[in-house]
Amino acid sequence: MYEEVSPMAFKSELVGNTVETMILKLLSERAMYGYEIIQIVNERTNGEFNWKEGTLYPVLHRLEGGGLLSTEWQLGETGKKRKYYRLTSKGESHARAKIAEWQAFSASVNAVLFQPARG
Amino acid sequence: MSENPFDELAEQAASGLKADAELFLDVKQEIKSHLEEKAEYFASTGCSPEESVELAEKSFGSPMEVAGEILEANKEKMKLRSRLRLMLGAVVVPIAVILALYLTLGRALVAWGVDKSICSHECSSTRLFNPYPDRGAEFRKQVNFGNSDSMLTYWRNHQSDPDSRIWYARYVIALCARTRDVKACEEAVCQGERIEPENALYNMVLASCYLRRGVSSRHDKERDAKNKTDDILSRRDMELGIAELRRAARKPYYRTYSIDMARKALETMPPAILTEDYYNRMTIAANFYQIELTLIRSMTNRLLATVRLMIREGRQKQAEDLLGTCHQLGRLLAGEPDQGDVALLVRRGSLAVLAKEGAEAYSLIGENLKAQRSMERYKALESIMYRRSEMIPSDHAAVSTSMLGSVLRDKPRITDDDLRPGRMHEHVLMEEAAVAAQLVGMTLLMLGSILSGALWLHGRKGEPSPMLLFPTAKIVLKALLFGIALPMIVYWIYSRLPNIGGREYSVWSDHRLRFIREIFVLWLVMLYVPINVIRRHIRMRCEMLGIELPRSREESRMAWASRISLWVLLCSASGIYLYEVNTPLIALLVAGLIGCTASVMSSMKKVRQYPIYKGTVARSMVPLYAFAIIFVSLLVHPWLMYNEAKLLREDRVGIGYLGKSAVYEGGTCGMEPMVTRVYAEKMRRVME
Repeated sequence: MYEEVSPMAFKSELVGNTVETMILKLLSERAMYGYEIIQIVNERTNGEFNWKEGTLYPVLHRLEGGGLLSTEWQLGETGKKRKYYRLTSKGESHARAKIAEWQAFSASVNAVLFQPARG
Repeated sequence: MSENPFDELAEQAASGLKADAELFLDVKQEIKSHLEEKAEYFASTGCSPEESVELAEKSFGSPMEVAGEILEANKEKMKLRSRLRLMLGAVVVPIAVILALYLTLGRALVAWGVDKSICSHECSSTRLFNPYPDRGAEFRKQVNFGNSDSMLTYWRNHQSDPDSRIWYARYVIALCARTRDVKACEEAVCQGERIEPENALYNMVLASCYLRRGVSSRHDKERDAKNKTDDILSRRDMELGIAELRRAARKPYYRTYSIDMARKALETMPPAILTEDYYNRMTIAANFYQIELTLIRSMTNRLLATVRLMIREGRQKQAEDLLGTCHQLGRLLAGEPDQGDVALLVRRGSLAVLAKEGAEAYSLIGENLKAQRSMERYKALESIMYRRSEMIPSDHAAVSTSMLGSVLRDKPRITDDDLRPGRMHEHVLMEEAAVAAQLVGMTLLMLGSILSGALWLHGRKGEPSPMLLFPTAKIVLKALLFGIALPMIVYWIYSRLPNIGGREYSVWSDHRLRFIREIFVLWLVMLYVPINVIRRHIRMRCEMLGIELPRSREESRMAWASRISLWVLLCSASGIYLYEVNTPLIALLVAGLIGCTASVMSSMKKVRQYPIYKGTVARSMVPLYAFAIIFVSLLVHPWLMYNEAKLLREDRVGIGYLGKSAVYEGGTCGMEPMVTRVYAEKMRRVME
């Protein structure tokens, strides 16, 4: 028996497996704070991920604990206190590796799903 | 009820981290600010405030689920931070305290031990950087610090040695100085005369024994002397003493062998490295002269008392003869070649007394010409003496014997270059003292910070106020670099630049005050900069974490009030210590005390509202002081010690003499033979 799958509501484990890669990719662009990461993800995915925002922080903390991210509290333009995350040099190389891994993986999956069978 | 609607949720989400107060506050604040922004977003879409809060909380998810994940994600970090905290408290702080105490008190105890070695057989040497074993303790104990019996035993066991007469002379000097048993002294002296018939030493010490029993002197300084007037206690002993002195005066030479004994004792010692080792060697060498000098002083006083008693009894002719004998004895005393510096000094003193009081005695019997000659001799002997008031700061170094002046003044044989290592050595010594004081000061500040941190933890009506962890390694490093290392480097460059800072000081010259001023400025910078670096960082951190803070201006005013009153207190106390007790300084001291107390009381009242901030500031200073102590102990102190040892090796004039464990020909140091030769020659000339 299989659940009916909506193309716009991703399974949480599907998102969960890629969230690290997405965070690393976003942080490779610039330093960001938690809420900002969520905003950008929602913006780029048109809000299709529909994840519980609280789950972002354990991932950020795990990456920080692994030495991939460093943090710094800063005052935003509006005077808000924000904790910014940025990639460490170890995080940068890890991000590159993860992105390359995802590209290879998604290319393989796409090949299986979309290339017509030969002969 | 909390003012912020997200306080509760954020606290729940971070609740797993409560064991680490700082991490808990950090995560709580992060979640809170996330929720606030989310609520603002919903509000901007037209939701009511209540709806915005509700929607923001909903989109965040279950706080309990998030709490578990957050705890899991931070477990390792918490463990690491707790280990760091434990390491700081149980390892770094104790190491810093031990190092500071070992380097300051440890060395002070060694120096104290050198003083102690004057009256005990324990010969302390620095053990810190001295790997050489001390194998001569037993020898030194027997020939220097032991009783006369052990010295006799030593002589008996070493009768076949070519130096056996040295050991016997040592035994007789010790025996006659300490015992009242004249018969034992007579027997010992008889044996001594058999060993060395031409040495006046034995007759001199026996005469001293007789005169001690026969005559009391108005200059008697012996502890058990009852009446301090010239008096005959036993006419027979007095006559025996005079006869023995006449026998001594007829002998061709006077040898005590003290310098030989000192040399032999110094040869048994491990190499000298630091100043206390050199002082220790000087002390040991001086100990060999001490007993003999007691005898000479006692004999001189009683001899002159005998002359005065004879004049009083109308025996002018005999008194004049005895004065002639005194002069002969003086020549013998001055004529001993190869004497130690201390022995020469005390002999000069004894000869001066003989000459001065001899002049008075000659006047009493009407021999004015002889009295005049004796007085001239006295003046000549006095002029050899080096006077501190005549000292030119640039011309002296660590002058540990007054004899140097004699050579400095008359002969340009000791040059400014010769004296330079001594002056530099004094500078390094003062720097070491300053570093030791700084280590003690930083240790006290560190312990004070620990205590103050603990008080803040439980200081608010029993309500515990969480403390943040020490600042990051980067901030501690920054504070250490800019607050401790950089000022020290700047001082080092300044103090070593010729014509600007200068590095040659003397403890007796005015440069001492300049040095104190420089060190005070250095300390002020080292106290001010690191505290401010740390405080600024903590203020920022507290601000981010939403912790209550005193206003910056208010805090700065309180800090400056404390600093100024503490400064006035310190300066006035140092002024009183360095100069004298006078009304303006006492007034300043009282003002400083009142200011200090008032500013501390007022600060306490104001800052009681900010326990987390104040506690964090107090406790954050602990790692800074600990690492600063370790830095100073492991880098600055050894570097100064290395310089001290180097300069001592180079110094041939000041306390560097008695150098190494090596013994120099004609003295116990490189420069000593020359200095003592010049000095002894002058004395001999005066006595001719």
